[in-house]
Amino acid sequence: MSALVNLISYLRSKPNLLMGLFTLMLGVFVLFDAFATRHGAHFAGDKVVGFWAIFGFGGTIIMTKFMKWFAHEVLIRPLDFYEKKEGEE
Amino acid sequence: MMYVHPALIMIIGALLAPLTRGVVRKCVLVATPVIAFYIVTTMYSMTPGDYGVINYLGFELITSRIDKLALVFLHVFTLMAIIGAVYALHVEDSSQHTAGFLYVAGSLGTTLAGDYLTLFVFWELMAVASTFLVWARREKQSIAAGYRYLLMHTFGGLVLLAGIFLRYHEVGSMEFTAMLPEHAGVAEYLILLGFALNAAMVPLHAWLPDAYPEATVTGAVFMCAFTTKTAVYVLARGFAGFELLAIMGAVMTLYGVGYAVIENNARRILAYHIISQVGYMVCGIGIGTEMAVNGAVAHAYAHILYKALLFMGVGAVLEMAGTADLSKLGGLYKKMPVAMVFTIIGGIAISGFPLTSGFVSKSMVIAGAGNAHEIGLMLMLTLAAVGTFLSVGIKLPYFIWFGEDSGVEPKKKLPWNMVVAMGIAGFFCIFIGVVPGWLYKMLPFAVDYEPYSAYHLSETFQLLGFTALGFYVLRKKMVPKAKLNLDLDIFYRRALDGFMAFARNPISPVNEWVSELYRVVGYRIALGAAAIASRFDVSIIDGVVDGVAHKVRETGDYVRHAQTGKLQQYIAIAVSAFFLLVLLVANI
Repeated sequence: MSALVNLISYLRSKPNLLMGLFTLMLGVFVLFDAFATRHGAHFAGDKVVGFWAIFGFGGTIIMTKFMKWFAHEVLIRPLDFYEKKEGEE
Repeated sequence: MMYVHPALIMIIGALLAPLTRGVVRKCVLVATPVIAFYIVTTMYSMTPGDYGVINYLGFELITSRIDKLALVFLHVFTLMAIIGAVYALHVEDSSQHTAGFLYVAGSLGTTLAGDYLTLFVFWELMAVASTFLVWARREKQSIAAGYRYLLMHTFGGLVLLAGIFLRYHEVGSMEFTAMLPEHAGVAEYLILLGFALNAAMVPLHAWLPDAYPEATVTGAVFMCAFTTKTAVYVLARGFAGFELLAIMGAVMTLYGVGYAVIENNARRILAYHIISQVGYMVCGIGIGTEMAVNGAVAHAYAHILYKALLFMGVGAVLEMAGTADLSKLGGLYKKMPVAMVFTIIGGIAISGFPLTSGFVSKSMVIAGAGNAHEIGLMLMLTLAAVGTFLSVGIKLPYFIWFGEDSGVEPKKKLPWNMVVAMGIAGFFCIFIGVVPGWLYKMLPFAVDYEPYSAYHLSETFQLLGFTALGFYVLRKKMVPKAKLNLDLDIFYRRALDGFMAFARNPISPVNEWVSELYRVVGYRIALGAAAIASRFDVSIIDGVVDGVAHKVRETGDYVRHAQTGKLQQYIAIAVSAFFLLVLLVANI
């Protein structure tokens, strides 16, 4: 376990190395997609190289932005919201 | 060969737990689910068919209907019971063990039931026993959440019962068989509604994120496995091919992840993810093709294990650090590396990383949707997979173990049995991913699917990699806030408050002591439950199940007066109530 902890500490101290590795990995993924044989494609998106990369990134951004906005506009209440109701009675 | 119903073993174990102490009890706790698991493995050599058929008051009760669909669920339920029992081995409070085992017994009994009466009795045992796992935390909000949980399940149970009797009236049989969408009428849809509530189908889901985060650390591990997955099983048996389920399932997948993105409490995030993951199963069942149903069942199997692992890992954090709120945690990787490793294994499995169980099960549902030309559903399920990795795969570990150091110190050491339990679950999360054939051969239909194709790997790498990039870009926006997010439970919470305001005015001037009782939140809710049951009785099912709601009210009243604070007594009452229920159902 301690080797793992040391590795994490090392990577945390080298954010540029971590980002470099991460970017390299993303590049390899898209490159891999250009060569992957497409068996049983279900729809047009399956034929576009890098489609799921865009889907994953776009999905994350849209979902997060929308839920943060929706929570802020509609859902968020103080933590004691229900307890307060009970206390008032 | 003599056949013993595995639920009976669990009930015996439940009764032995409070009677034993020390090492003997630990042996009972481990031996009980191990024996049940062994019995299930022997069932594979039995000829599929009906066993344990009892003729009672003119009804044919089929206590065990054994086929491939039932067996795969029994297999994972008993395996999960072993994991849950080991995880809870250090717990001294015997009421939790009793409640946990009775809960498992209810789930096994429901899974084996071949008729609706047997199903209903075990169904209700599950509801009652699991409520005690919430109450056993003995905090004010747990007591209140437990009552709301019980109220919702009582409501669901009554709807189910109404459907069962209507159907009996129409077809003259209590047998639990597959229903066809084109022949479904009011009775079938009432039964579906009862099942849907337990499957936490939106908008009947709010009980789940309300109650599960309030359960005990070990209780939540049991709860995350059985209620919803037993509901998935009965849906798969009775309602495969209902298009409504396909659409609702896809909605659930997105609803759950949407809330998980904004939630702060780790156990509530996981609770919302149950809704999301069960959505995949419900959707697969709704699509109804062999591949989609296989996918739903495979996903149920995989899900039970990785979700339990996640609840165990986060439960370990709650046990050691005293909180599961992400806003209070951070930077714990040096202090709790064991819990971190296991939670991350659960996190990558639920996200569907290659070589984990989620990869070989979730994709089967998604491919099932694609092969059935349901492209809209397929994209919804894929988007939910993005959200799953975002919130459980990245956000949850990031804000507990990495991120800014919160300075939280673990208060105690992680008990060895918790580590063993996480080890077993973690092993299966990886094992199923590496050897998917082991799971596939247990599925109800023959499997013609290869998860490790180049394109599926490419799709997964891109989705996961670029979701991580999205998180990195928005990491400042992702910081969880210590706030409450409204969900649909506001409606029944408000309805209860409204009813109480109505009930109090005429009553309190008459009896001063009644208002005294009302001060404790649980009393109020018990009365609310009784009243709603009563109104439900008068307006909807009066004449069909005349008197049942009155019985519920009487029982509720009895429970209200039986408050002693001793959980052993509560359980005794619950067991008596269970047998009362058996008699009640049998006499109608």
